[in-house]
Amino acid sequence: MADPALVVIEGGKLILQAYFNYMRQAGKTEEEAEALYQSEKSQFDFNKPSSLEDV
Amino acid sequence: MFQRKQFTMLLVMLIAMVFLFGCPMVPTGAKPISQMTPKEKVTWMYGVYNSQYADYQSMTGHTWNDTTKTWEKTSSPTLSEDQKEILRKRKEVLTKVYPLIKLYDSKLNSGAVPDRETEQKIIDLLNGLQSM
Repeated sequence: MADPALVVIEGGKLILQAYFNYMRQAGKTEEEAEALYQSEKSQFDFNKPSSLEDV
Repeated sequence: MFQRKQFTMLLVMLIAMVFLFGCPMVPTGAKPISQMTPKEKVTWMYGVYNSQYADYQSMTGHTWNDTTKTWEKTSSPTLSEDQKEILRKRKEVLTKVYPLIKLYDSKLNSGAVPDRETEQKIIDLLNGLQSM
């Protein structure tokens, strides 16, 4: 059986790591969403329907 | 002192916490439109419009030049009358939806809430385009 104090310390470390991982991921997701928005918007500005060839 | 049962419970709780915090968030594209934020909706609108626009360009022999940032005519595909009819309808819808998306985004950027009627009209037009 493992030392309970050690289990609590290791558990605490895991929770902290998971929390920081979550925060980092959330920030990254927001940045990615903004980057996707900007990229689609700039392509949209180029894609004017009046430039489409008539068939 | 910790008993085996308590120790197992603690481990299960720790693993659950790791999964809860560690799982990546669901990407925008996987969400139904009704659950998207206005910003996610406008990104979706741009994305669908752009892909339909690119499809039209590709069918009429155009390719995107990333260096010059322009669509260039690279071939002259032969289109059947049915294909031409679909393309005409697509162009009509793309022309109709373009100013609506622009208006939707400008309202969003000015801090106003875009009206639901316009939003639904855009969604309907884009869904119609995708099913053509």
